[in-house]
Amino acid sequence: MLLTNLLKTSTFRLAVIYLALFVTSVIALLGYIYWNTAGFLARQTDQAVEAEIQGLAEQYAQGGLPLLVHTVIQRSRDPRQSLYLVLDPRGNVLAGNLDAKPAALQGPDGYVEFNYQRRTMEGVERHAARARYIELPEGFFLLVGRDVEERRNIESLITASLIWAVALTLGLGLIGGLIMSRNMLARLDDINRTSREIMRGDLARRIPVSGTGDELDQLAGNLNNMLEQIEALMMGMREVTDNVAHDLRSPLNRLRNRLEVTLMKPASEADYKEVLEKTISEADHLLTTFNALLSIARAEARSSRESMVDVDVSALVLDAVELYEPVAEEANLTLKAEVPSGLKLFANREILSQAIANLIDNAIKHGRKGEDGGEITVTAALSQGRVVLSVADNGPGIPEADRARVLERFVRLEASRNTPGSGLGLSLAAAAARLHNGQIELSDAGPGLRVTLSLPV
Amino acid sequence: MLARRANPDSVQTKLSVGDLELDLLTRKVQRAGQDIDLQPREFRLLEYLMKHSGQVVTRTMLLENVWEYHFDPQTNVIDVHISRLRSKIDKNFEEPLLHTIRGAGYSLRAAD
Ligand SMILES: Nc1ncnc2c1ncn2[C@@H]1O[C@H](COP(=O)(O)OP(=O)(O)O)[C@@H](O)[C@H]1O
Ligand SMILES: [Mg+2]
Repeated sequence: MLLTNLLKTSTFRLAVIYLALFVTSVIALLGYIYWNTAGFLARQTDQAVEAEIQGLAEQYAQGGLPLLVHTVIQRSRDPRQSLYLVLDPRGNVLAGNLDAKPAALQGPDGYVEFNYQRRTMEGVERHAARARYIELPEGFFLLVGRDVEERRNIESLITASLIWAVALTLGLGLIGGLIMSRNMLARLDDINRTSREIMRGDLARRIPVSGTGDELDQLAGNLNNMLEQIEALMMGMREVTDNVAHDLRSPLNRLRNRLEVTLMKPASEADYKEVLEKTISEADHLLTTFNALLSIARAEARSSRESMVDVDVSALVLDAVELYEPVAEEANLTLKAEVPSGLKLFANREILSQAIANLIDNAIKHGRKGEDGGEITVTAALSQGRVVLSVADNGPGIPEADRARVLERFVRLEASRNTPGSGLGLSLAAAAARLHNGQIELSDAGPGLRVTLSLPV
Repeated sequence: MLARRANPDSVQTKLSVGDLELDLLTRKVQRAGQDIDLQPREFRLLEYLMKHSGQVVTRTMLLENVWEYHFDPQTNVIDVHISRLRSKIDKNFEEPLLHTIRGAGYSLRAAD
């Protein structure tokens, strides 16, 4: 994993933005603390020094040099932070606890900062000082100041902690950001790698899920579900194509062989005619199969959803019943319709009629035959917001174990080997149910098969 | 072959093939002067066949135009409808009008 990749991640960018915000607030906070502690102290001492130097100048004005020297000597005895110095015009020390006039000049704020030798019990120490001085009339010199060593120490402590805090925040933030981005990048890399493998054709690959249930896991979960569906669809497609190829090959071969055999030996015109008629009927059967496949494909296409209209389901069912009525009668079957008038559904008329027709067709073909008492009942009803259509016969029915299977394309049961058909009728009915967001159910009509389409209104 | 006894400048309301007649307005069908009773769908089937008399009409054409179905039912439902119609219009008469064309479909026509 390249560092530049890491730095490009959105997580890292986010981390940097937060870091900047955080550092700014740390600086602001410490700045505020500084202003309220060290800064406050500094302002207090400056004010005290200012007041004291004014006071002493007044004493000089009232009591002259003796009073000033007296006061300064008195105050200098106090071993605290205060510093004094009085010099005569020639520079000799008259009073105070400093050895000499500081070399530095007063800054723009009127203060001078310097170091001096402080005598303590342990000896002499160099201390920082801050002072203010004035020239008194007649050339005398007065300095009042404070030892600021302690304050300097506090200040450098605060400054040091500020630097440390910022450095630490920056360091930790950067490392944290890098780690977070690395984790993010690692997981995104997983997703990217999996997608590439899938694009290379390995549809069975799935994106690893970390198990924390976070948003990346949710994304991975959704992508995996999507892949699952795509794979199922692809498998379905592959199976269909395989089956189509296989199912259409044998009749085409048969057809071709018969034509070849006919050509091999001399025959009368009547014989040729017969063969040609047989060929046409086989070609018709092939065409029917193709058309049925196309109908299923159409029922599964998105465009079928767009061509839905308000359909009078009652009329649609009765029309299908009427279409099959003569066939049923010829097969000695009773075809009954229990359909209330005026059932409406937003549906694809073409596909829905074909589904109903296929079910009646099945009931006639696969239901009870050869004996009396064959009965087919077609019903339609509105129940709990659904239009429920059913076709039931009293034939052999379909064993429970085969009910899901027969919905697949080209699946025909052993019992129907000698009945014409291509095994696509129920597939279309199932596709029609899916198209209308409904369900298809095969159940025992006791005896016989009942197929129910339940379609939400 | 197809005799239309209709006023040339009015909309054609009567169809006839041989001695078979169909009145679109009264919805009556007669053959050789005898009334023939037809169900509504049988009437539409005959109407379509008569409008295309002399031509070969395929099962798909009938499904699309008479039933408005644009798919082929697996079982040959049309054949049975045709034989029902045939038993009504041809059974008691000497000359058959409704012919089956093997491998193709049907044709309604009178002998010349
Ligand atoms: N009403 C029924 N009774 C018994 N078996 C049935 C019925 N309907 C369908 N089947 C079984 O389900 C299979 C699949 O039906 P279908 O998809 O319509 O194909 P086809 O009718 O062309 O054989 C049939 O071959 C038959 O074995
Ligand atoms: Mg079927």
